[in-house]
Amino acid sequence: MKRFSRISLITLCLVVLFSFASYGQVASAPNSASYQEKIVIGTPLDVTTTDPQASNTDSNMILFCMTHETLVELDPKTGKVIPGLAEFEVADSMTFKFKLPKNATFTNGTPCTASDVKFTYERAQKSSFTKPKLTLIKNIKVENPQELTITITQPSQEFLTNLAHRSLSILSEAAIKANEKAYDIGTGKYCLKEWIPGDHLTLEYYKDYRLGPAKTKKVEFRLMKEDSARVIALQTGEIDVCIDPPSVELSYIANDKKLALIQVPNVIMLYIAMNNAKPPFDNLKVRQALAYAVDKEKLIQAGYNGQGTVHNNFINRGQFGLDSKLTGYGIDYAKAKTLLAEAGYPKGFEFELAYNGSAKALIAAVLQEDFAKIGVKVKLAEMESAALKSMLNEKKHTAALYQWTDADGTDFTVRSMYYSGSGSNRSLIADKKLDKMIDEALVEPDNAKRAEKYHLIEKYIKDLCPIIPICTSIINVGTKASVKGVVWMGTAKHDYSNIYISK
Amino acid sequence: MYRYIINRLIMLIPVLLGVVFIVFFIMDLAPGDPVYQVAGEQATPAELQELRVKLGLDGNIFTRYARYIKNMLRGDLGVSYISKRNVMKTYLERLPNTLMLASVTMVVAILVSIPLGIIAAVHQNSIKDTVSMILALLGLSIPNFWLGLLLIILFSLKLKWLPSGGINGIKSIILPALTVGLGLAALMTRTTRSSMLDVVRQDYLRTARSKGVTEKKVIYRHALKNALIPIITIFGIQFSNVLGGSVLAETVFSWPGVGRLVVDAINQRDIPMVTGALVMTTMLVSIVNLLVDIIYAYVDPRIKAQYTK
Repeated sequence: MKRFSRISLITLCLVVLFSFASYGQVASAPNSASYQEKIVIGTPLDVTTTDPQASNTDSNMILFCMTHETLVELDPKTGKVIPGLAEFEVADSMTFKFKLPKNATFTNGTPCTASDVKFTYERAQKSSFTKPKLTLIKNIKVENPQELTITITQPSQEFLTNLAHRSLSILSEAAIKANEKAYDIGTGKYCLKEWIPGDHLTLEYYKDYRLGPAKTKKVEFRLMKEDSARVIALQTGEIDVCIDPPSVELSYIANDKKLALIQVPNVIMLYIAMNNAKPPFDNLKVRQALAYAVDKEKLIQAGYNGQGTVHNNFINRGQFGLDSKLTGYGIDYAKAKTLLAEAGYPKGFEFELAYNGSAKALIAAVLQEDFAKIGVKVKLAEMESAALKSMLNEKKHTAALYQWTDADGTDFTVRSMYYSGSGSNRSLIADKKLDKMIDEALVEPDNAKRAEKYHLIEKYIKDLCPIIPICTSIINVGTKASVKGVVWMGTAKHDYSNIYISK
Repeated sequence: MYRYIINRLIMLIPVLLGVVFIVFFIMDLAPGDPVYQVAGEQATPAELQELRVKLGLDGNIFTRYARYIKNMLRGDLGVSYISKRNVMKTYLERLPNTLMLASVTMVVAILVSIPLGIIAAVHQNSIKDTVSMILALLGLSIPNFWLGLLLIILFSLKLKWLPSGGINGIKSIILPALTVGLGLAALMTRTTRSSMLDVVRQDYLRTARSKGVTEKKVIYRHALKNALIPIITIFGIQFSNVLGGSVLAETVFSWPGVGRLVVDAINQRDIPMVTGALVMTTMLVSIVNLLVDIIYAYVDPRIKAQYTK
């Protein structure tokens, strides 16, 4: 027994000591003169890749905003295209000239040239994530190390807007040719210092950034999936920013003088995608009947604790050409029943509604109640995001609660969501007249006329009723009151590249 | 004994082959094509097929299984579909965190359960026994998730003694280890009590007492050793469970262990990561089971005699 006890004790001690030995206190960083040296951002979503061209999730785009730059950018207030890494000139409706600054360098110290831009776009044309934004490119000509000219196949009012998308951040040709995984090297204010997937990602400022180094030396994104734990970490001061605190705990942040609650109207449209290619939703009257039975206010209350805005449009709020006067179908159960009877479903029908996430689960339950009032039974199908995405991509769904997150180019939105055969066309609507209207709007040079064309497109889509837009919610972020410099975006892809806390 | 250990290690091979096949089979049945997780929404059918070949998802399940086993035998567990990182490297990055949490958790469980179980057994039907069993019942009934949040609120938010999550020094392991350990302690307390109750009624203890051996010696030297076998069994099972990952505690405390790695990989249909992580965990659990069997031999001479035959 003695021998056993000793062996057990020694083994136990060794295991514990060995385990502890691999841990150490994180060394406290030296303080810089005026700003807090390190800022920690608690996030529920992990970065999945450091390749800008391999994904378009929010967490990845937030990273690329700090480590990379695009040729042009969108003014967050006006939505207009402004110079980014390069100055630009629209030579004619199909020719764009760009000029890079001579002192533009990648974070590994090598110069960024026009050849890198050409390499980036040619690489992007091979990625299924980025190629839709570059389909119009006819030729990319490098004039000299600082200048290049891009010509496109047809006039497009949104070509520059597409180039502002973070997935088209400029990459280093030399670095990637030497190491195919060197896509994390960009020309941004920060460079990737450490990435432990599932734990944290640390960025360090690039001290030779051409416009001067960032105010904060290190920014860490710490993955904290549990919502309440994330809020508590903000309250205890362990993190400086808490992304997406749960709506029921917002009062803890709002009532704490040391903290600030940031609330930004979300531009992400939640909608019901009805599969127009198969019964019963191949019947216009069925789709319209359902549209008349949706109480959007009630859905916002259920899913987002009342924090949201009814959305009747078919493009995202803030996008060019949005018709602010467009009204929804309204609630009219009698009319819905009449339409169902006319469509050949006087006793209603049953369909499966797929969705993922807790907010959508609450919304789906309310929809189930509302549709029951017109005799339509809804079979709720809660799915994991991977399974839902796969089902939608394979076009096997009957109906789904889904969202559209892009709010940059209106053409990109309508072309993706409503154009025949588009991969993101979740309603599978295929209408040649609509396709033609979308094509015509893209090439219209006069902005007023183009805006009018999008108004007409929205009205036409409303009549076709391929989807039922529901609402946009509110983006919540909790921060220490002293956090400054962040550009809060309605797409939730916030720009933290200038974040700082003054001492 | 050595032959037994070698035999057990050889037995690991069919276990691993079986585990890999089951994982392949389940992932194949699960809804959600992995290709769609990697490709963009605008990918054409031709591009999807090209990607399918590139990811090794072409061919039937047996072809893929054979290909995987061939690579596994060379020590290659593949590359994550999502992060493009080496599976083995990623797993080994997380493993120390899991080993650390599992070790401290088991220490907490032992320190709480053995004394409580002995007290309950020695003082059967007394107030001490009742209190011990109520504590054990509470430990079993309280969900880990909820207990974790309560501990965070008390020790991090109110008292400001401990960090609420993450890995940042020794302090950061206390709350997750308590959260998982107290749940395990409850089960082990009940096992210790019932095992001790079986032993304390044996004739040889009565003989020891009649010979004038002190009660402390009777309990700790004679009774406890004989009561240890079922306790070690439960210890082994629970340690294996914690090694597999305490997903809820890892989520609440932002603890980057293998449990969350596997769950995230399943959600993303990251087949190489799921399979690789489960292969590694199976090996670990098998080794732990082997160690438990060896400990049996040290504790019980009858078992040792079987091995040495």
